[in-house]
Amino acid sequence: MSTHDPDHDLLARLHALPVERSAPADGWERLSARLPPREPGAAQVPLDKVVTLPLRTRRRWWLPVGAALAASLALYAVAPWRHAADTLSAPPSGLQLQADAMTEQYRQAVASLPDGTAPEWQPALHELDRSAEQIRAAMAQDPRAPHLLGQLKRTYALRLELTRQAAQAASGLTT
Amino acid sequence: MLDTTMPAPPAANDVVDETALVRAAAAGDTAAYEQLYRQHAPRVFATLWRLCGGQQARAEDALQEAFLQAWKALPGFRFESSLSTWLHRLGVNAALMELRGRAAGHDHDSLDDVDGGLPEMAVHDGCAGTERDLERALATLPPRARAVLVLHDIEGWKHHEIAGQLQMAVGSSKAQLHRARGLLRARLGDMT
Repeated sequence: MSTHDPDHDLLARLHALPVERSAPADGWERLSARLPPREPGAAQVPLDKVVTLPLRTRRRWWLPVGAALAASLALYAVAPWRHAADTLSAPPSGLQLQADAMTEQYRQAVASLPDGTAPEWQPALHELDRSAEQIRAAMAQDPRAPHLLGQLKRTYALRLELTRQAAQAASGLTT
Repeated sequence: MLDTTMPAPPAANDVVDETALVRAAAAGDTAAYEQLYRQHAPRVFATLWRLCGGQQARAEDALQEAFLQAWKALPGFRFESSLSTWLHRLGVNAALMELRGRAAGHDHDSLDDVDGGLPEMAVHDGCAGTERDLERALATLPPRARAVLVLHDIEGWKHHEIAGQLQMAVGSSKAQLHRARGLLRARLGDMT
């Protein structure tokens, strides 16, 4: 009877694959053209102050922030479209309906995450909220721009991921 | 997480330098961010390229998106994980979103795809066993199975991490991994 593990050889080959691959030659040039400027005051909080914050202090941030986020998202989900609908006298487009459903899913996903976040995460979270707001506003102005839906999806996904990491940080887990 | 695939621990000076670069970039220094990009992009790109089934354009889009989001989120980065791990997370997320986004357009390589949509690639030739053939065989796997295999067997993620990222049950992640390995062995002609 053979004791050969068929996964062993395969795993060895997978582990031997190169860990790096040449990034696109013009990658930085393309990226740098898309980087938004930093807002004044967006620089980070000193690290030593952040990492030594007591857990309880960090957890207190979550409730007001979560409530504000939920309220703001609800506003973003409704207000721009109503404005657009009023202006154009047209029903929401399919794209807008998809965005609406996505926003609701995102809101529910955020609400399902554990309570707790660390204050040092707030600038990033707020920045993503602003991004989502801007995308929604752009969709209201141009409801037939499918790339905006993808941008909104990616922004929500990143926001969820960072919210998850922030909650882990607040609970003392390494992110 | 990702501990099994992270590069060797950097020297102390490198850590200090990277910390300084991160802080400078967080404050708006694009030159510092360029250094971080050039340092980390090749490793992130290797992962995204595999997740995207070797499709260069899609992997490039995901890389761009990941580093754009990283720039936005960098002021919140607090070194509770390594920068490399954090960037990997963002990159994987961008790649998965890219694949999910294809579902709306009925792309054959979307994450929501099922088996059999991809053409079989002949890898049972005289060159079988090479690194290139392994990469090619990986690219032929169904997208979801491929993602699980890449994240688990190459990137070192745990099943619960993969399940969270791919929005599936842990059992499904394990099943997809088993399936992916079997398909990969078959496509490589390794029927042992």
